[in-house]
Amino acid sequence: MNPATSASESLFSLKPSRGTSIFPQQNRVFVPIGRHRIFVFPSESVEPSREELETALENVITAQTTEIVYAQIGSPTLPELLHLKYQKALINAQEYRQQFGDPIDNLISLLDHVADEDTWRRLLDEPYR
Amino acid sequence: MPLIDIADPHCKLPDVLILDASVLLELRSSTKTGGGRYYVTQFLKRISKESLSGNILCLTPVSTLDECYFMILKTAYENELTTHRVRLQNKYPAKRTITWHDLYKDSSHLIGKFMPVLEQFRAILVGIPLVFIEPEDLVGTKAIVATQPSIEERMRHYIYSVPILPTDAHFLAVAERLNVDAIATLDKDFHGLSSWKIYTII
Repeated sequence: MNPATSASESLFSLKPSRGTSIFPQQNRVFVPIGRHRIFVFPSESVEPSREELETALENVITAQTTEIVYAQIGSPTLPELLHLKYQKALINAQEYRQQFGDPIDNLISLLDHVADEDTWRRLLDEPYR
Repeated sequence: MPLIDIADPHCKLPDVLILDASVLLELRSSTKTGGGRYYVTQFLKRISKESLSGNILCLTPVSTLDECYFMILKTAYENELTTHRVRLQNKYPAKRTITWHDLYKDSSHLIGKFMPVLEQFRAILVGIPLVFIEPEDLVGTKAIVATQPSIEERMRHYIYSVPILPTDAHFLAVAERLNVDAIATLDKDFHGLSSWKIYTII
């Protein structure tokens, strides 16, 4: 048996009680566990490496990582891609806020620090390239 | 309804919004009370909150980051110029005016001094959260490549039809490829786009 196929079947066999949603009609797997998201897009034409799938599977089972593991096997649709990127951005945003507070207030402070009002106004009035 | 006033704290937000550099850089230094900086601050805080709740997806193409990074570096160099002006005037006596660009050409290594600012800026955008759109996100499937016009073709279309400069036309072409019709910008050049939702200060 192809090792990749074997690992893929292991992913499909995860119990729904672990937060696994399976959409066999789309031949896709969507695995949310807490804050962790793992997407696998199986395809007949492009197979993942055994290492990629084993890593993904390990992360599903142990949920040890705060990173999103994205095994790109075939291409996601644009909405799927944006959703995936949003999920990752959300985790990063929450971590930023826990560490540094409100990003908008911080943006104001940072741009204040870069230059004074006159300098900003003068340079922003110039056309961009 | 092409123009939507972001000064209205109850204006209806889209499901997906793409931001241009003018909105992000509006939070620069200002002694004015009220005005653009105040409204943009409130708007960004609102979409930040809604994004965290999953009610809106806020996107920013790399080309927007390009513009922001450029402006920050340019401004930082300009700020640094005060300590280098006399030296540069002595070095280039034929130049009537010494600008930030002269300092950059003379001392490009100073960029290293400004990198922490760019890193902080990027981290702040991540904290909003903004989703960065990379070039590979626009590639799409084989079907898209076969049936859709190229970004370059659409960029030329917008340059002519709006009319608008290439950087802004590219921004529109990217938004179009992403199927996003809502833009947040303070650039009045976008106001002529009747079929788009333009979130701006009216």
